[in-house]
Amino acid sequence: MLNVTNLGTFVFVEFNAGINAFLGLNHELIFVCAFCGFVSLVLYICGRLGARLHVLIIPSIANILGMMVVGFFLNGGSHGGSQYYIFLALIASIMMVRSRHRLILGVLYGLVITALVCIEWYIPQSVIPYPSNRARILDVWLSVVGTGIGVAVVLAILIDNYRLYQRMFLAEKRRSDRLFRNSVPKSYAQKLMQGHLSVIESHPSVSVLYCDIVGFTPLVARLDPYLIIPELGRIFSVFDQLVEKFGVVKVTTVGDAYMVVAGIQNSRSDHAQACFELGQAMLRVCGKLTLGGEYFLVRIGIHSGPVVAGVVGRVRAHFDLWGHTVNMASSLQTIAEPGCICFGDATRDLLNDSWGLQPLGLVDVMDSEPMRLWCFRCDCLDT
Amino acid sequence: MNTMKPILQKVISGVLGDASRFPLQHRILNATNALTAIILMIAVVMNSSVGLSIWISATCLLFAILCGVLWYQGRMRLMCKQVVPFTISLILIMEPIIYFMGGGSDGGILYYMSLSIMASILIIEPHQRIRVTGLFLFEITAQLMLESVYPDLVIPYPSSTARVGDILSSMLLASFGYALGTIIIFDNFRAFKGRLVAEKRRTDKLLRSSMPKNIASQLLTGSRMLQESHADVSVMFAEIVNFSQLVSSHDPRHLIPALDTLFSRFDSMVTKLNLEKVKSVGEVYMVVAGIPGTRRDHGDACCELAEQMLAVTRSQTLAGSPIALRIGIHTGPVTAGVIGKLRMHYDLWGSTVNIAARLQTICEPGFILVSDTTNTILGKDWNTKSLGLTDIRGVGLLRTYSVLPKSASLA
Repeated sequence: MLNVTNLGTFVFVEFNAGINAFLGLNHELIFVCAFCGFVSLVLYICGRLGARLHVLIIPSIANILGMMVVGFFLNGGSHGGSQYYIFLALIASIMMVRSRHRLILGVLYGLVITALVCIEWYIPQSVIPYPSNRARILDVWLSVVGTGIGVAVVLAILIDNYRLYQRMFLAEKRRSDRLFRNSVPKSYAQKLMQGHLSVIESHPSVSVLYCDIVGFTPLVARLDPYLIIPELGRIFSVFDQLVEKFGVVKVTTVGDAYMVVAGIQNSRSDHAQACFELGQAMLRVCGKLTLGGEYFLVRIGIHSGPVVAGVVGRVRAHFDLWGHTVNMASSLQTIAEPGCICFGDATRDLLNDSWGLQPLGLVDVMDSEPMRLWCFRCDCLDT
Repeated sequence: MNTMKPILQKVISGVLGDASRFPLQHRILNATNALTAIILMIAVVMNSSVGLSIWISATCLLFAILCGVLWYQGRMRLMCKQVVPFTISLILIMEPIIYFMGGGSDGGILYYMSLSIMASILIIEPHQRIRVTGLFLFEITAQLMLESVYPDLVIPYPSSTARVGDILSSMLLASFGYALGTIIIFDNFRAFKGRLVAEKRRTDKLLRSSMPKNIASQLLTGSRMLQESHADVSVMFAEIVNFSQLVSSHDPRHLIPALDTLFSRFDSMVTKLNLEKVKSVGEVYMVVAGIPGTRRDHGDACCELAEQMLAVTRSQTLAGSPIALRIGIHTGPVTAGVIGKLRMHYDLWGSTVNIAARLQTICEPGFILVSDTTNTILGKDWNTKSLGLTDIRGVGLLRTYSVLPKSASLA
């Protein structure tokens, strides 16, 4: 900003010196203009060569103000044109100094203006008048138009920059918000945005779904992982769409396993039903997808019960769940046959209708006492 | 000074409109109308006190009222676009009248000319700039030419006292206007610049937190290849034994923050050893050594971290209960990267990962279980005890080793 001001002053002042010579004004004025223009050029070169900003500010402002004062007296006083440039100098100075020095700057400019007018008023002979009224009006015209154009250009640049930065800020904010929302569910994002440092919630009744792709690990070993992992990404993206459609919350993926929870947002009571329907939709959609050129099957386990949800860790912090219910869902998934959804009584009791469920009888799950399990097999797989 | 600030802010938002409801352009429009009205009112008082003709005062008063009406329109209703042309035409009409009534080029009105250009630039759309600025410059030129050709058109000041008073007040008020406009725009510009930098840092932090640097930079540059294969890395799984029982017996409001503290401590250990945390899944903590770059001692680094983690859990409790870790480490090839759209995060794939996870589940609490492959790459200062062949589901028979604590092997 300082460099622009000094360069601008140099060009402007040298131009002015030429105009003044053309108008036949007195030689002192031309000399002062040329001298101050030269000082501006020196300051500009210093600024360009990397001199500190605060070292150059005071000489720059003093240079401009000094030129203005001398020009005022040499050039017709308040009848002339010099004082109009004081406004341009004021704008440039405001942009150069620190915010806390603005008051000093304002007082300085106010004093200079008052002093100029007062000196002219009390000592009229201190002002050298114009040779003719024509010359005076021409000079005033040049000054007013010059100031007007200068102000217009500076402010237009400033407000354009303002709008540009505003746009860039909004775009960046959208991006970081999207990233943030990507790592935690919506309700958590809102709470964290409101300034809660950590959000830990305990939910008495939710349903957790685990979905695992059968035979994924041998497939990765056999095929090129560069081919297979993006395909896994595509399958998960399809699951993501289903998750949004059913209004449940994706927790995370663990390797080839996909983990979902229902009932943590707006505590819906039909969370078991939502998970069960999502499981059915996942089984159906898997019948249409391929992985490495082959059809594949998934195993799904659902369990309902209490969980604790939150975000932990400094690195790779993400939304997660803890509790027996989570481990049960994961174990039920390993018990499930390929292409089946497996769950216990805790989930079955919450379903709207249990039509088409196969009883698996009492099964030992995770070293606990035997549980009565149920299995849902997707009939779309037979066709 | 400090007590003045809230009052000043209240006055400013009262005149300009609330910053949250009015965009900057609209607030400047309100400021322009209000400031013009105030300046005109001051001019009315000044003019009558220095004895200018009553007509100038009357004209100023009329325009002040019109400006007040425009300010009221802009302030009370959310319509900026309709008021802008009225404000600009009002200024355009007002200026020549006052110019010829108040001393012409010797008078005070010329000082406000570029101030009106400045205000117009701030309240109009960018494509109208040249037109509006040209209109003002044309007006200035026409006024001065008229004055030069017909000097009689200008009504001179009654006395030089009146002239000096008018000029001084005009210059000071105009300076105030220039300063105010510049400060508003410049500060808003700087504020957005600062907020942009802060927001960029936030994006960076979020990305860096959710994935390693190289993957994050690939994601930022828009590269589609977000996965990479690594031939030789060590994967470590560490699980807090019986954590789900703790969840059912403890208040989660104490337990999860304690888990957060523990995992954060692990995080700093991981960073210090120059390893890469993959993520935590529930109570399982997952680390990979050998990504990025090619380090030969990834097995040793994993065992070092495992040892340190065991030391932490031995000396610490989790929300008052003693805890134990079981740790499994396996070495081999993996694919690492980011997939999916929702809850996108860094992950590893491959049988190496599954074997490491399986080793962790069969490990005794408080011990480190490594596979044959990892055992062969361990340095000389690690002592291990063979546990024979173990049947691992989905893999088959695998020779496993228990890593002996360094302190015990020294003694």
